[in-house]
Amino acid sequence: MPVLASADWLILLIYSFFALSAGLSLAPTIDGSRDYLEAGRKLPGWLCGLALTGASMGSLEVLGMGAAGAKYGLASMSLFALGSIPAMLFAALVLVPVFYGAASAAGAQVRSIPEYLGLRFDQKTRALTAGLFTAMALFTAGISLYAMARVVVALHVFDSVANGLNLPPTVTLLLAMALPLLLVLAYVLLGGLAAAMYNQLLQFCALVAGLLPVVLLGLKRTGGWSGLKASLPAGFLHSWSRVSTGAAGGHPMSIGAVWMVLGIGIVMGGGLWCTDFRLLQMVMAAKNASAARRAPLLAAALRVFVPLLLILPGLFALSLPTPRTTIVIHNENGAIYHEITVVPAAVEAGQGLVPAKTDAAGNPVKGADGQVVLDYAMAMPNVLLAFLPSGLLGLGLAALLACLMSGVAASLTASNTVFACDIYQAFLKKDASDKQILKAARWAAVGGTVLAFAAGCAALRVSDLFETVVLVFALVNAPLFATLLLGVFSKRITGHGAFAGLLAGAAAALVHHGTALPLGEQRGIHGGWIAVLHHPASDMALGVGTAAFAFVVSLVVTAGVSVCTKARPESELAGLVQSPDPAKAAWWKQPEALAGAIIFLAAIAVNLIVR
Amino acid sequence: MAKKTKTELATKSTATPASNRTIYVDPRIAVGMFFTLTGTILSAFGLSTRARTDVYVKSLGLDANLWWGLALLVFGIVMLAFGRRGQARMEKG
Repeated sequence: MPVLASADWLILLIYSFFALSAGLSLAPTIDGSRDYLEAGRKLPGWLCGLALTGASMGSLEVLGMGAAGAKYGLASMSLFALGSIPAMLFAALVLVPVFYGAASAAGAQVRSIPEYLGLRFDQKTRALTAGLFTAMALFTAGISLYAMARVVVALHVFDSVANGLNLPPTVTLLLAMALPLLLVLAYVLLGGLAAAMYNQLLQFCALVAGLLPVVLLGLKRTGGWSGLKASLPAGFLHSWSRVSTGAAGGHPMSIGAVWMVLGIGIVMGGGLWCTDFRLLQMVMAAKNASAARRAPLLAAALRVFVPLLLILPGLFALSLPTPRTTIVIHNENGAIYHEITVVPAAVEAGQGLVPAKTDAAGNPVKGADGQVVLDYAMAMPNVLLAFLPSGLLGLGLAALLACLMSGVAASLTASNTVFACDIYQAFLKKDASDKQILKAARWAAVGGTVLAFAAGCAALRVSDLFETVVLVFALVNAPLFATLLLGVFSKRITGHGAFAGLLAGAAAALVHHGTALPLGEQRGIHGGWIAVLHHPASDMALGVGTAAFAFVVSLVVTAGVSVCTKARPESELAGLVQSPDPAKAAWWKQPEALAGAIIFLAAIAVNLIVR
Repeated sequence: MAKKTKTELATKSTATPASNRTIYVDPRIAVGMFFTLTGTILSAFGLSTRARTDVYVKSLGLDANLWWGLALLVFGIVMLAFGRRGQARMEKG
């Protein structure tokens, strides 16, 4: 069993100390609510871009990318690129200038996406989005908290502490959730969004520092690229060829090419990068409009390479031999020694370093088809344990912990901003002073922490975390992306249309999810809880399909209801709708567009090389 | 060790007199300090465990702590230098 050496503990403690010190050093800068909620809008573009990258790699994403690498092979690299880079470039070039520049008639700059929706449409749309978003952000924070805590406990790294204090396993798990959460709450309360963003920068650096040696050592161990290729099942290193055929059984993922581009590229990517305030808050904190546009561009450029760091460890997990219980007998000076290495059944039943999922008794779980169900979330952490010697292992674990904390911090700061601006100031106390807004935001952070912890505890009973998160995403983000898109581009879209579109989209997501069931899955969170009408190829295909359906329904309903209702006068919408500015060069003549094109080509090139 | 993150004040005039002091903390300083410290610890740990083959079986016999620690140390010092320059520049105005 791996036990952390004192050097590992020291590095973990130093990381936690630096996380807190960002809050402490920024606390004196918090003078008013805007300092707390949007870092005073004075941060440089590069910091916003790196914070954006950091925030987009929470624990679910990091564990998920390693899992996707082990489950689907390098194809997932192209999928992550497809699901983020076009959407990030679109956000940088088109949407961010609108969001960043939007201001109320009195000249107050917009602080959140629901606030923008309130100005562009009406208060009911604002309230609906604010409520849905807060619930979604805290719920997802709770799930990601649990996902990482479970991994930490499963790695047995803290067993020595837990045994020393005589803690039962559930308490250890709760502690693993509560301690990082309290640390996040402390620095968020002290330094607000700025502290969260400084920590995301630190996290991004720690992630690279912790995972780059794993990738280098892994490539050395498997014998370079060709050695890795030889040790993997055929098809795992072909990023495009197999996926695009889409035939059942053709590729582990099996989604048709058209659906893949539409669903992942537009809906999932757009829903995340163009509408999700957990990410967009980083852009809104930029010091000026051009810094705000540079932030997603920088994040997109990093996005070309960073997934390699996260997906390759997943591939290494599969390429290494599965640990087996072994008995080695050797003879020393006449005495016979039996050296027995006992490996748990779940590990032995796994594939490579990916163990099987276990039931309550610790036995490997089998799916409906008799195959062992693998616990892909363990791929990345197991590879860390396999490759990093103690010392570096502490840094690797600090990187995982950092991802957890910065993802949760992004959820906390986003939801406390939305609560303070769009629920407290907009509806509960319209004449709130700046001090009161600041206070409300801080209390919202405390409340958010409690709710996220509760969601994490509830997740103890749910076995399919990732599917739950994808469903919530399809319910909230996909319809919101459709209405935002229409609202930003057309003056004809009305508040009633947007409100109806959001509700219809969420309902459509529920209906689609309730009537489709991937083959070989149980009815329930995997879908099919109303009636099984069709069978998507995989959970992934179901998630993408649900989001895409919600998006299309929301698009149609928003447009349809808007046509039937009365539009607002054009004068009220100045600055809220995308319109060509005659004073500036057309958008494709600006340097940002050129940078965007280069990043896009680089992404394609990397995906072609890494095949 | 981290006492230096406590930054000096940089004055900057803004519209409202109540908040006419802006404190700037260059984010690179904290990153630089973290990696300088971590790099030092890792390379020291690497040096002291250099002879122990059992620790480095995982990293294929390579003293990964020492070499990666040195790389992080260099990165940390570079970040620290950039951060201090940025801080000084902001404080000047």
